[in-house]
Parts: sequence; structure tokens; C-alpha cells
Amino acid sequence: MGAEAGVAIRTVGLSRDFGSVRAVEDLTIDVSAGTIYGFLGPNGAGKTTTIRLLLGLLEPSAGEAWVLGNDVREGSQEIREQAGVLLESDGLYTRLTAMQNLDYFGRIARLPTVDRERRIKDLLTAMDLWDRRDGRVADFSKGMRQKLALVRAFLSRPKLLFLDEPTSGLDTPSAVALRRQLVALARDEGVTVFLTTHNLLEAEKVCDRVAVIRRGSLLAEGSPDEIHGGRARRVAIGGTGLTPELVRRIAGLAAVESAAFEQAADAVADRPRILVDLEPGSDAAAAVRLLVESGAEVSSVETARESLEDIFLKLVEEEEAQAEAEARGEEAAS
Amino acid sequence: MTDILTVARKELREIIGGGSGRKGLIREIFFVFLFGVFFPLSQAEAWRSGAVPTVFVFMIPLFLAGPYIADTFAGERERKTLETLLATRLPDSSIYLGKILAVCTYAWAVTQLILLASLIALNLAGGGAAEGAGSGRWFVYPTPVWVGALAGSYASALFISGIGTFISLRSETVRSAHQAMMLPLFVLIFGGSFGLGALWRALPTDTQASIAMWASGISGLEAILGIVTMLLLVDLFLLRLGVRRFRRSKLIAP
Repeated sequence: MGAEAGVAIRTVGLSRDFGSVRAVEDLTIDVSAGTIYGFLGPNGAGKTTTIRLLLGLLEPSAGEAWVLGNDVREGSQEIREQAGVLLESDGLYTRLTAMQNLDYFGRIARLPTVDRERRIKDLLTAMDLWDRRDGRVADFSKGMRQKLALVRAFLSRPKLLFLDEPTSGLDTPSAVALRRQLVALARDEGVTVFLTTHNLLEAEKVCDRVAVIRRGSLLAEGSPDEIHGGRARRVAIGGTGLTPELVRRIAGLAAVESAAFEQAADAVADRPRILVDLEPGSDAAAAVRLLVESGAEVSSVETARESLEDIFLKLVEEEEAQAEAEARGEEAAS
Repeated sequence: MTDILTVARKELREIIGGGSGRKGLIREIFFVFLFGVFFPLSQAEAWRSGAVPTVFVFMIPLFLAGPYIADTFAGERERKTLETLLATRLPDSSIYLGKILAVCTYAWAVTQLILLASLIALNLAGGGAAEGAGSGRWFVYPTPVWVGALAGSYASALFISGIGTFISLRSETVRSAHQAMMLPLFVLIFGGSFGLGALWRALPTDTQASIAMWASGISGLEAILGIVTMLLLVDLFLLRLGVRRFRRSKLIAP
């Protein structure tokens, strides 16, 4: 085990404790080079701690991790040399101008003067900030600061980008442009992007793979399609004569995980639909047969793909239910 | 060395004027006027004798460097820039030494400006009994003052910076760092003068006489060089300790 060609990040049983609190627990993931990896989880899930561990800013309590072939314990300096970062806070010096901020980080990255100046100009122009280059960061809006922090992250042409909520504070056109830029960086220049986000739609759009974590533990990992594929498939059945009693009977079928009327906001008022979550590997035939045999008229059966957000919420609910059950079991045992 | 200079350059930019502001320069002008013009003209004789400026070149850097050194790490932590800085390729020692270099250079430079301003003020004011005054020749301070100004002021700034970084590293906010910095400053300034006086009085009379006899054989220059050497040795110890104890993994809060 260890560093491997084509793998930008590998963690094996990575854990970190803060006193009695375990912030990251037994995290095992592989991030392929040149891909965009989404790290999803609610506040306090351990996303930021994981980034800190991968950058060598914190020592792991247990487990191992390699980033760009370097052990996080021994080679953190080499990791930071090749990484661009945008952390929770933008980390900009507000008393300095945009240009002075970038010049500082360009010097730290040891970019030659001419290259540094050209790169700063190109990136600031691309982010529509060139005209504000001599303005103090203290006078910038949140969106402008976020753009400037992104410029700083891209400045040294890093092989690996750690981006914590990169589109936070950006307006829609800027967020869309950034997503395109990230995809282009990964596809065309082989840059690996490790991004955390609360925006699950964003993760679905740009990430090659996603990991869902909660309370420091990995709940699910894979490509967005794999995560969808491993879960119950949802179908929407439309027609007339659909009653709550029929919905209850469909929910009781062996092939069905759950069934409910479509929420009013999503449904067409006079055309109610039943949303049926099927067990993996099952189809909607039994549910349709039950409706037809009960006298209902089925006019449509559509596959309704669950959003990543739905899946995320379900994973969190399942994990909470499991934790509760375990706690009850422990109580009963004692 | 390049990394240390990169950090120092940015720190100096923040200290002097905070980028494009002018507040910093106003503060420096005030210091130079107060210590370099007002005090020398108020106590011209004491300044011309070299006694006051010799003490001032050791003390002024404490006041100039103290607040800025308190701000170094506590300020970065409070303004949430510390983690991004620590996530760069900069080695721990470059971050630590770069910040100290900037603060000491600033305190040293302002001290030189103050001394220069006092010299100009005293010469323009003229008169007095000191050598050179009113004789058509420019009055200059004796050599020990210049040695103290050039080497002693830097050693003094390094001393307070060595202590101050430990405080700054452990402080969550700039305010708490400033408050904590007051203690070593008070100990150094008041404890130094009162403590040494009390210690002198506590010594047996014959010991006092022996010390006085030994001291009378030392020139002013030798005394200053001795103090500077001792300070630099202490500085070296503090810096080595600081470099050894400065670890980015200890600076990140959960």
C-alpha cells in the first residue's frame, strides 16, 4: 500500500481525534489524478479537518495518507509545494491591495518575476478583477474576495487544488464559469480537484466521484451514477383513480421500498402521481398490476431519478437511525 | 533566506501604512516628533551629554516592536489568514524569522530616524554647554550612542520580539496578545530600573565599592559593547528556542 501512479490522494484508515472527539474516523478513499472529487457532508462532518490532514497541517491520530506520492507525515512540505488551496476562510490580507496579496503568494511560490506578473494579470482579467488590482481587499465585496482567493489558489499552477466551498459568495454566472474552469483544468491540464461543497447540484454537475461523510465517517463513495445505482430506483406512476389506500397497498409490496403521492408543489393539480421507490434490481410491474387490478387507470410510468440531495439526506437519516439503534442496544446490554 | 525576506517584505508593507493607507506614516511621524524633537528640546543638556539617548536607543525599540510582534501570529489568527499562510510551501522557520525580521527592522529604522531627528533638532536649537554647540561646528553624539543606536536598538528589538512571539503564538486575539505583552514590557522597563536599584542597595558596602572600582575602569563604549553582546546572546537563545518550538501543526485550532 502507499503511493501509486495515477492516484493523487490515498487515505487508509485515516483518523484524527481532538481530545475525546473523533473528527475523522477510519477514512479510506482513493482520488485519481486529473479528476474532480467532491467531499460532501453537513457542517462539522470532518471535511475541513480532512483537508488539513491532507495538507500536513494536522498530524493524523491513526491511519495513513499519501498526497501526490508523499506521505502526509514525512512529505507535507512537498505536498504544499504542489497544492493550491482555498480554505474555509479566504485568507486574504485586507490591509493590502489585490495585487500585493497575489504578489506575496506568487513570491512564496517562487514564480519568476515576469511569469508572476503575466500570470497575475491573466488570472485577474479572467475573473474581471484587473481594474480593481490596486484596491484594498478590505473594500472588496464577498464575491470579489472569493474570486481573488481563487486566483491565489490557481496562481502557482498547482497539480492539486483543495477548494473548500469554492462557489460560496459567487453570483450565478461566476459560479458557472468557475465550474467550467475546474472541469477544463482537470480534463485538459490533469489537475486534481478536491472540493468540499454543500451544493449537491454542483457536486453532481462537476464531480467525477463523490464521498459523503458524516461525523467523520464515510457514508458512501463513488461516482454520482454509482451512488444513484446502488440506491432504490424511483418511478412516478400517473393516472386516474389513485387513492391513498392504493398508495398504502403499493408500499406493502415486496419489491417496493416506499410509496407516496407526489408533493403538491411538483404535481399537476388534476393529474396526481404516486412516487414509488423500488428495491434495487426490482421493477414497477407489480405496482402497475396492482393499480390496474384495483380499477385505477394508469396513464404514465416514468423513471424519476433521485437527486443527490435526496440521497444525501437519506444517507444521513439512515446513519442517524443506525446510531440510535446501536445506542439503544448498548443501553439494553448494560 | 529568500523566503524569510518574502515574509518580511509583506509584513513591513502591512506595518508601514497597511498597503495603501497613510495611517501608519502618521504614527511614525508622531513617534519621531515626540522622541526626536519634543523630548530632546525639553531636556537638551541631558540629550547632549549622550546619557538619555543611550538609554532611549535601547528602550524605544521595545515600545515600537512590542505591539507589532504581539500582532504577528495572533493577528493572523484573528483575521483568519494564518491557515492559508501555513498551507503554503514556506518552511516553519521562514515564517517565524521573516516576521521577526520585519518587526525588528521597522523598530530599528524608526529608532535611527528618531536619533537623527534629535540631532537635527539639537543643532538647530543651538546653545548649551556641550562641545560643538554654538561654535559653528555641528554637534554629534559620542560614539557609544551610535553603537547603541546601530547595534543595541536591533538587539533590544530582537529581545522583545523573541519574547513577544511566544505570547502571540499562544493568544487567540490581538487584544489578548497586547494585554499579555504589557507584563514583559513593565518588567523590563520598571523592573529593570527599580530592580537593579534595589539589588544595588542590597549588596554589602565593600562589594558595591569593588564593583564601582571595576566599573570606573570601563569606558562608555566598552560598557555599551558588553550590554549589546549580552543582549545578542540572549536573543540568539530566544530565537533558537522559537525556531525549535514553532510548529504549524500546533497552530491549527480544531
